[in-house]
Amino acid sequence: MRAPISSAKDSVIVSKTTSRLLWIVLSMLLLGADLIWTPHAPVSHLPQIGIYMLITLTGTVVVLGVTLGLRRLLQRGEDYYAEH
Amino acid sequence: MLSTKLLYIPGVVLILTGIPLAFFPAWLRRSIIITLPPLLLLHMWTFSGGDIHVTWLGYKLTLLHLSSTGLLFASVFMFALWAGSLFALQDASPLELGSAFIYAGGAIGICLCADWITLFCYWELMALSSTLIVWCGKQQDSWRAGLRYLLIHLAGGVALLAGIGALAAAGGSLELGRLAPGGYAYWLILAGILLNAGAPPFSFWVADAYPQASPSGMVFLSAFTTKTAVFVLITAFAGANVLIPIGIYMAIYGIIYALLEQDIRRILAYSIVNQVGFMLVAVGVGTPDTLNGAQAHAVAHILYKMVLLMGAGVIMRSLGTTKARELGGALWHKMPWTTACILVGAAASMGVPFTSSFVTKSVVLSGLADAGMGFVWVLMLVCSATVVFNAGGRFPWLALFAPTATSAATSKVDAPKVTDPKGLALFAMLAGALLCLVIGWFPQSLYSALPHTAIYQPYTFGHILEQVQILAVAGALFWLTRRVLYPSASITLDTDWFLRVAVLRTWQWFSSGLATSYAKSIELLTSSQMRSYMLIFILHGPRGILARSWYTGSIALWVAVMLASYIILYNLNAIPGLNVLQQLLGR
Repeated sequence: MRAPISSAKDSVIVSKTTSRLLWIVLSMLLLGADLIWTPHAPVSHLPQIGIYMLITLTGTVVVLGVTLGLRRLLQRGEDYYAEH
Repeated sequence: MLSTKLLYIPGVVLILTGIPLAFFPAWLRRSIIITLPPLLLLHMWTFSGGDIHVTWLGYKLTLLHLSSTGLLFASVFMFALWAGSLFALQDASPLELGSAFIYAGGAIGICLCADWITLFCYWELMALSSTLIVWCGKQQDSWRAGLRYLLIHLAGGVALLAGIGALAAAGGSLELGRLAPGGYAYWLILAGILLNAGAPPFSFWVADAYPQASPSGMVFLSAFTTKTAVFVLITAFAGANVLIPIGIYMAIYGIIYALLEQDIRRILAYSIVNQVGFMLVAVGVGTPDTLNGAQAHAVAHILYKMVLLMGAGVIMRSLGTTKARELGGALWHKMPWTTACILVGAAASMGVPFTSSFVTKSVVLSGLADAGMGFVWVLMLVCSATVVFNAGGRFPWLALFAPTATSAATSKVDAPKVTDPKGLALFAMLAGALLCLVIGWFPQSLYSALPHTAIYQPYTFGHILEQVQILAVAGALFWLTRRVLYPSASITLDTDWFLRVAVLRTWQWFSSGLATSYAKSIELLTSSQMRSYMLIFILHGPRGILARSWYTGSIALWVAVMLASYIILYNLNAIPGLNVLQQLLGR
């Protein structure tokens, strides 16, 4: 059985292996994207090199960043409304 | 005869059935639930009697009008009612089932009517019946969440009614159709509809109220209210550019709040807002392609969200909770059928090739690209990709695969009741999942029902590779960040804070101020300085002793007494040495 996750409040530090894996996967995906044909993109003036991947990657990272920022700002205890 | 004609209207039949449904014996209720929706669906597609009109207060009301858009929405609503009711038979209360029929009747009635007055009647009926469904949830906060839900929807109804009134006062046609932009009527009606769609700043009501319903109640709720609003927006506000930023906000809001959420049903509720935002953007752009896309995606969304919510409902029935940290982890091996259905629903939500969303969401994206809206296209592409972080990837991971946060929760999984649903509930879930696949495999079956000529071909080499790129990147990012984003035991503040805390505190401040002022006023009135004024008030005030009415005889007696006193005093004054009056007057 897998060990339970200790606490969600504690941010889990991504290990070096995972971090390396992240970069390898992303690099592979971007390299693979060179071969991608993107007929629907309304960004035809841009080089058609993995444009979907780049947009997805950039956009998702921005969304995740905003989310993590808002987490600090907006999260409260489960009994917040009961106490207020 | 109008009364006979009413029975041709599916919405009316459902409402008339729903009202007494709770009082029917169980066998009859079960028979009606199993047979009536399919029969009405068949009736809708075979009815050839033309429109049904009635005149009311000089207005011509169209109670039945089978437009292609209305028929499509009404059909998927009917299926949602049928599947949801079959799923609900296991444990839903008779009241919830009756309310669901009325609720669905209202939604279908809106899709098949063609004037604003009839629409408004159905609209209010939906608000009331859906509130009953929330209350039937009988969870800790069901009552209060239901009240907040009702408050917002009644406010939306008031805006809608005011808009319809303004439209009538301006001499405009009350026929349901595209409204001319501008004027009070336009904005009031739009505000009323957007409230039901979950638009900002009231997007919170979806995640506030829906998860407070029962496992089956949320299946009903997810299908009708927001999608009925989308139908009305398509009909009356196609091309309204104001919908584009609103839709973008909703799409992003849904993603972020779903990521911060720990309850799997609330994740799905935020995902509803996210996807409705997608549809609003498409309606706001308003080209034939994007309108086709909005309708097709609404159909796909109803189906896959229904499947996902049924899956979440099964988990809730089994474990009594939907908080990710308390689910026990690794539920997938105890519920193979539920897991399969959830995975199909999740794949459909992400737009995996050969599932429904792949062939519907891409119509919207393609339409945006063809309309030259590059920036909106990029945003919607990102929103489409990040579905992996809510309904698509994170929901099934938290519900079925994630290790539990507490060891106490792990033991729950071994309870004997943690199994797949049986009988009709399982059938309903499988039927929904199957439809997600059928639409994905045979997109023309859906495209042919769309109002505008569809020429989109989803299965091209380019489109499949495009989607694979998106899913690969989003999936990789999700997998790498899944532990960082593991939910904590917390809530996330939303705009409902203003309703639940700010307004409440303002009221408390106002009422305590009022009480203090009252107490101080009383204290002032009873002080020594005020006592003399009080005495005068008591004597001469409206109820004072000297202000009372007196009997004539009594007055005459007192006058006589006064006169006698005067005579006596006068005569005493005449006696030397007894100058009483002068002494009294101080002279």
